Amino acid sequence: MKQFVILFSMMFGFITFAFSQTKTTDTISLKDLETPTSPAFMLLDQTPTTIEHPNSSKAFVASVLNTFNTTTGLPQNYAVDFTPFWFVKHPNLTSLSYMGYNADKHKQKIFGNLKLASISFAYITSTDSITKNQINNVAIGLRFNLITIRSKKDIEDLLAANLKAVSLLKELDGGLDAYVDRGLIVTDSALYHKKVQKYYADLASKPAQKNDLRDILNRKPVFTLDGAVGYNNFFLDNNYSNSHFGRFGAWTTLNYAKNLDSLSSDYINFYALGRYISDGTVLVNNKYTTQNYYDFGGKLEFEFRNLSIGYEYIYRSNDLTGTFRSNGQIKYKVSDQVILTGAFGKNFGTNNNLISLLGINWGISTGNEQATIK
Amino acid sequence: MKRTYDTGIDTNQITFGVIVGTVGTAYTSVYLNRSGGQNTKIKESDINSANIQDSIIGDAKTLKNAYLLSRTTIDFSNINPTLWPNQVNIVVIRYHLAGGFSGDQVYNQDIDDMDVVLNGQILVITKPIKLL
Repeated sequence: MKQFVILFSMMFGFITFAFSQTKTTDTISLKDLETPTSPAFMLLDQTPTTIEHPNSSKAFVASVLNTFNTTTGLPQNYAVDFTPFWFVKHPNLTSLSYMGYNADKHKQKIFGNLKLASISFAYITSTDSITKNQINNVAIGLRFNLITIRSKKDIEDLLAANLKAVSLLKELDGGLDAYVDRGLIVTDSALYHKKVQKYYADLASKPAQKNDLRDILNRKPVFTLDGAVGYNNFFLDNNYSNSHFGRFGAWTTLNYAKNLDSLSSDYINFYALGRYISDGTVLVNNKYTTQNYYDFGGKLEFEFRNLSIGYEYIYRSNDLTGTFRSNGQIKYKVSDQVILTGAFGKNFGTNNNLISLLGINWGISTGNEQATIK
Repeated sequence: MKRTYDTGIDTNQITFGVIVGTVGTAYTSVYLNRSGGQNTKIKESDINSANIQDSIIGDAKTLKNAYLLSRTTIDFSNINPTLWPNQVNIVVIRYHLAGGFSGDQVYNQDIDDMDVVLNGQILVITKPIKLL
């Protein structure tokens, strides 16, 4: 049965893919209203070919220097997405605090993930296909999780896993004391460190006790509020004085997830979305003008083991008029790599506004499935 | 790197504490190593953190010529393995001694105190402090 579904999906997916390739201008991304991971890149028309993700200050400097070295002068294309939290020391941080729990007050820190805000930056040079002018785009963005609230059970599990992890460390420390006298560090420091390395190298060959903390942290929180802002400026003809405002975007996504059964991964999800885009790249009578767009809406989704069914309503207004998108969506995960996606409903605007899709998504579910408008 | 602390006259009450700043799950134990090789555990951290609150560990008379041996073990299983290699650069450990002739002293961990093991999942920091 599974093979039949895959075969059917491949055939239908190929047809959908082929069709969408011929009508690229009529496609929308199902996820393009949600808070983007890297808001700076979202504002650009071109996707950076390579995005650096340095996770230390040294790696960050190295990535910038490499860009300079590989070009004849200033870098022409550079895109980076990083989390400053990982670059600096945190003298008073504890693991519980990092994981969003205040041990002194015995309660979770709902703003605890704000420290993990990420910054995206892109500098991309391209040539306008019509005017043949050189365009230098600079964009910067910030993405953050403002609020995270976990369930009582998840917090209890987190504390239990922390207790288990600390007990294991205490056990390892005691085992190391039995293996090597810690006073050896005073008389022969080199030998002491050699023995510490040997003790842990020997442990690696034995079955390790599982640390559950990451699994618990990866569980879906009950409530999250994410936000992002991005700003883009562009320069024409490689001239600093010929600078123009490009785009500004602000996104927010609120997610409430209720576990339908504490023993399974079935959820009912409610999303509220808000987006504001100010677009200054529109040429009218050879002058750049700015247009504003506002999107508000919500989505209700039932998420079962391999199946999710949802309904989405988004209202969009710009400086002149208002319109809405209303559609139902269905996803079925055949395997971790293969996801069937279907959507039907009305898209924004009054013409060509039918959303009708049945397609297949290969690889990890990115949320960037393309829906063809008919 | 070995550090020294002058405890001063015999009646001085010496206090000691440890503060560990890290994202990883951590545990600290402190032993007193007397001349002759006798080790006695005098402090250990609790389940909330690897910190050890400042408290009296004895008077100068009994501590003189002994070593404080503090060992902190940190497990980074709770973060993405791609972040493990840099943790050795951003972990912070402060050892605080007070009450002796040297007054208030804060020592940080040194590079040669650290052992990175299990591909960076575990970091072991051992700090010897000689009490004069």
